[in-house]
Amino acid sequence: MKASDYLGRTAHDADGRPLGRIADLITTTAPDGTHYIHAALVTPRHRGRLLGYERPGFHGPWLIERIANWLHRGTREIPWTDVHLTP
Amino acid sequence: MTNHSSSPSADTPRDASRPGTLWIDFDLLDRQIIDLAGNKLGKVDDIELVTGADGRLTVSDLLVGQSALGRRIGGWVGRCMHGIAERLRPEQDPPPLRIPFEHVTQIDSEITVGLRAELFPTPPLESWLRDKLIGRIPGARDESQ
Repeated sequence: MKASDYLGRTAHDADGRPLGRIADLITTTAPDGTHYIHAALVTPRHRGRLLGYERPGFHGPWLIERIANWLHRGTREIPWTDVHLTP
Repeated sequence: MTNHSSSPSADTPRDASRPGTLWIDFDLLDRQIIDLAGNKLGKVDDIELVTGADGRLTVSDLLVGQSALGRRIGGWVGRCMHGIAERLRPEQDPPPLRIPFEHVTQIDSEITVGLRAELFPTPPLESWLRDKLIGRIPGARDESQ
């Protein structure tokens, strides 16, 4: 599988309800040094690419940050084990 | 820089609150790849993921090339890019250039890999231009002309 097979697809919860579009895949490091997917960043709105303000510690010009946060409100991380690609 | 076998995330300042975390789209896709000498190898057009023995979806390779980018973009633009890549390569279905993720040594605004650019094939567009256009200009192959 490729990252592009997941990015942009709709994520669903266990009951088949749509959670939003997968905007990013978040990896963490295993003890052996490999990176594995542990969460998906899911955004409920289709309003272009994220600008990075959804990442912890990213702040910005104030106005741009406010606009980006408003456009992409509701964006959140979902544990990969809770992400279902089909309803 | 870290050695080749260690995780590149140690040098990754992107998500400082969570060391060892990488965001595939934000941290990897579309970033320039360079070798140890600073030579450009291309941009990250897609990421190969494999399911490990423990069932986890693991980052395996960086994919570089028009065919990988065309597939990722999709639509008629992506099909055009993939078609051009097929025409420029002698193979029927040209595979993308794969760089094993274990060779990534640093991730910043560029992605550094612990390999030499000479190990990789010439990009198809570059080789096509060399053979079909640049190489046919008088003097391109013989300095005495």
